[in-house]
Amino acid sequence: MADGIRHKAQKLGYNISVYSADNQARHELELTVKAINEGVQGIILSPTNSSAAVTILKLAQRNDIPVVISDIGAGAENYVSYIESDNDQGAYDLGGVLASTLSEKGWQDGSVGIIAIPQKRANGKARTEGFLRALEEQGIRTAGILQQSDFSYRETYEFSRTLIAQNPDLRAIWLQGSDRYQAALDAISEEGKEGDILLICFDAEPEFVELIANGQLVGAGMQQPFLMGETAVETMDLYLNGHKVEKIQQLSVLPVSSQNLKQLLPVINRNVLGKEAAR
Amino acid sequence: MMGASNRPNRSAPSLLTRVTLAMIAAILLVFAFHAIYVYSSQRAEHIAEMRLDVSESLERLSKNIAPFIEAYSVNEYEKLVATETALKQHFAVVVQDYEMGEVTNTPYYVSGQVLTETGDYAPYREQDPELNQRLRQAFYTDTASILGSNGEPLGQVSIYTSDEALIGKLNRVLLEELLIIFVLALTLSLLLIAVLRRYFLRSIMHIDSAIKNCDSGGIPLERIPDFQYREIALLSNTINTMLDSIRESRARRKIERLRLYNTITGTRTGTWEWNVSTGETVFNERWAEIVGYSLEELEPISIDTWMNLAHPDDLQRCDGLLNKHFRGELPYYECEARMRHKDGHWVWVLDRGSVLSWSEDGQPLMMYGTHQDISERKEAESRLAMAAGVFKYAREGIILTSAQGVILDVNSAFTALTGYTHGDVVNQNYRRLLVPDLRGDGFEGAVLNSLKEQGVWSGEYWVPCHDGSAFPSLMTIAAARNNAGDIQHYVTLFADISHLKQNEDKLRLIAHYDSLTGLPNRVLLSERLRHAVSMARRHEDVLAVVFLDLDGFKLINDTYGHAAGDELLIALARRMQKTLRDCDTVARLGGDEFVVLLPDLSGRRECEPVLDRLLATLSSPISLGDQIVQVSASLGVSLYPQNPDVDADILLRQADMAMYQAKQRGKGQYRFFSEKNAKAIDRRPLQPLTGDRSGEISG
Repeated sequence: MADGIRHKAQKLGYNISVYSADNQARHELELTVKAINEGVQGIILSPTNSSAAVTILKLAQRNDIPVVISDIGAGAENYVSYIESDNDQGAYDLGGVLASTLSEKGWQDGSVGIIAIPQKRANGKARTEGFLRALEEQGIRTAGILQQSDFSYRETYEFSRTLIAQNPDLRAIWLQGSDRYQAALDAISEEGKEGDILLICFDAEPEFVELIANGQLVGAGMQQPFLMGETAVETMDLYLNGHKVEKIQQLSVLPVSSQNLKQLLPVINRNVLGKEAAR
Repeated sequence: MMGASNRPNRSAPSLLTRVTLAMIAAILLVFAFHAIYVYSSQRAEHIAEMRLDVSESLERLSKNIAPFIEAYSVNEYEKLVATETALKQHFAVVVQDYEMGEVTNTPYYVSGQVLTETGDYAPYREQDPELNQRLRQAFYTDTASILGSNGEPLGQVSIYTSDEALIGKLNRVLLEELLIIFVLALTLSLLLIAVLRRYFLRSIMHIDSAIKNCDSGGIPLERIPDFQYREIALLSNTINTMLDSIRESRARRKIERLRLYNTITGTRTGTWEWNVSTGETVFNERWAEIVGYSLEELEPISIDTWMNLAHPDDLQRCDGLLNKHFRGELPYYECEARMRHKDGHWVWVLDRGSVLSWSEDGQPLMMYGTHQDISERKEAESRLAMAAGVFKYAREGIILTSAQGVILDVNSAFTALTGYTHGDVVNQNYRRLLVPDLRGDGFEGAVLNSLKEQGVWSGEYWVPCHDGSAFPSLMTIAAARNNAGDIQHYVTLFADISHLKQNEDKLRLIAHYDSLTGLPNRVLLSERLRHAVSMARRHEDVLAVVFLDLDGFKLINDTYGHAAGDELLIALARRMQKTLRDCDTVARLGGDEFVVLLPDLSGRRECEPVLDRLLATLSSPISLGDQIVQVSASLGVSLYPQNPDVDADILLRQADMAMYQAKQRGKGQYRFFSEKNAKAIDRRPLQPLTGDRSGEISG
């Protein structure tokens, strides 16, 4: 996302400083205060979490500095605009991808287990709702849903084994995050269900192009961080120049499967993997 | 009047309403105290709760906020604070975050939640002075430090509570209490009213309906019914007893009033009421009538009416007595006074009364009394005083006795005349004392009969004296009767007539006896002759009437003087008395003429010896001083009875005629009357027996 921001800022002629809080709340706050103290015109914030964003928004507001939120939402609404991925649409489309795959395999009677990110998050909730709607429309049962808390390998591995053990008819596991896909693959493999139980993920990792291509992953709902950064800068620019901006802007999530991988690969490379900036 | 007063006053409160209101008031009062108690206790409880809430919130927040401060999750603990604030309804919760203060290069980072005037919570704004002022004025504030996991201070949290919540809660408590009071009071009142109506007022209504039907005096005609419940039954019985008592009392009072009215009317008593302080006065009709007026004529009536009519002299005396009564020196007021009658004369009234109500300072207020016309009594008293004077000072003895004959009183003249003291005779029986010597010839019966028929007896009576003697009296006994005609007393009045009796005797002597010789005179002779005739006729014996004339008496009288003649006559009278029997009578007709009556004779022969003795004794010489003289007598005799019958006068004339014959025959002899001789001498006029022949003495 930072690449997208830098890319667009440079294009529009802004001096941009990009700080990483390293997922540290204090550091995030210190950086916010620092930015404020430096007299920035605006802040594009991708907060560590939506709650932390509230305090940052409050500090910025006290100093009349506009904030555009990107990716992860805020627990408050005193921002200029919030640019997010359309998680509901992305999950729905992803559900459609899985359903058609199960149909192709004649596994419509099988069930699908879900390992979800925390449902108190707006994006987690949207992803679950979109995915389940798609399954319901296709008549595919849900085996169960387990919520991640520490996002560790171990956690994802144990959740995957539990779903497999408790649901003999399990035909697929949907992992709402992307970074612990290996734990799920290992659990399927170790349960001897490789080829019998499919794995489908939300979000993207660079290796997913290959995993989808070779069939280890049925598909992935890929967000477009580069595009998101660019959109954030554009939005801030518009706001600073006195234009009206949409309060919430949703960017589509790409439902990538082996069928459309090739077609979507240029978009993936630019907007998902940020290869445009590298050029 | 009484009936009207017994009707319930429409403005009088209803018992049911009053009792209901009183009960509601009592219930409300009790509940009001309860509400005050509840309010106070609830207030204290809520304050304690509030402090506990604050304390718990502080503990909870300081404990829960700490990790968020450490994690710089400001929003998280702000949400926590917002939740706690809203949940516990705190007025404000303010957090000072030292960790964030380091981040923002300030002593602390302030955040929090404050209740706005619209009732919502808003974030705390440190720069708002008005808000800070409100916080300073918060009802209760408490602060707790926020400590990190290793004990270092991370900040502090302050909780402000407003009394609005407390007031709100207490208002709710108050409202609830009021609602409870209302509902309970209403329920209780309705229940109590129902109970009262069922057990109490219904009974009272029954009593009320029973006593509504009452007589003109306001006394119920019916008895109060019996009731099931003891208290009401007792009340009913008591009322019935009271009603009976009132009826009886009223009947008694009616009788007493009637008696009083009859007494006042019957005794013709005037009545008066006098308000001493105002002078207001009320009289009855009789009061006015006593003085000849009607009440209307006396209008306007006041105490002055009395004062104007009363005799000035008596008024002054009455005032004196009245004042004594006012001062308590007399138990009641009583005064006899004269009042001016309408006709102008004075009427005596007995004015009596007494004060029946007094003021607190002892002044008389109301006085009641009567007037009685005592004019007649006064007159009677006057007469009685006169009678008493008569009784006391009369020279006649006076005895008062009861109808039964017991002596009640005697006057001093009685004691002086009879020698009996007052004590000797009072209470003694009149009859025993005075009557024993009453003549036994029907005298007592005649007296009693006269008293019975005529109410008075009068006659002569010998009054016995203490010393056993008696004296003649002229006595009058009168029966004193009451108005019914019954004898109440006897009054005996007697006068000593001893001197009259003596005079009477003297007169009788003068009238019947010859003053010279002491022999019966012509008058007495006439009586005795008539008596002797009647006795001879009754006893069928013979009476001889002898007419005697002295021979030669004129010569002696002329020779020796009248004194000698008188002396001769006296001496001859003595001789004749000695010669005759006691039953014979010798009387001097006058001069030298005498008549001798010889009763109880068997015949002429028995008479002749007496005649001879008379001739002899009369012719015997008599010594007159130095002289001895001698006379003779000629006697004519007539006898009774005769055929045809003759009266006394004829007898005496016959004897006179016979004496004349004896004179003619030569004196010193006697001759009996005979018819043939009578014709020869009838030429001589017969002298009436009662005439005065003193000047016709012949020799």
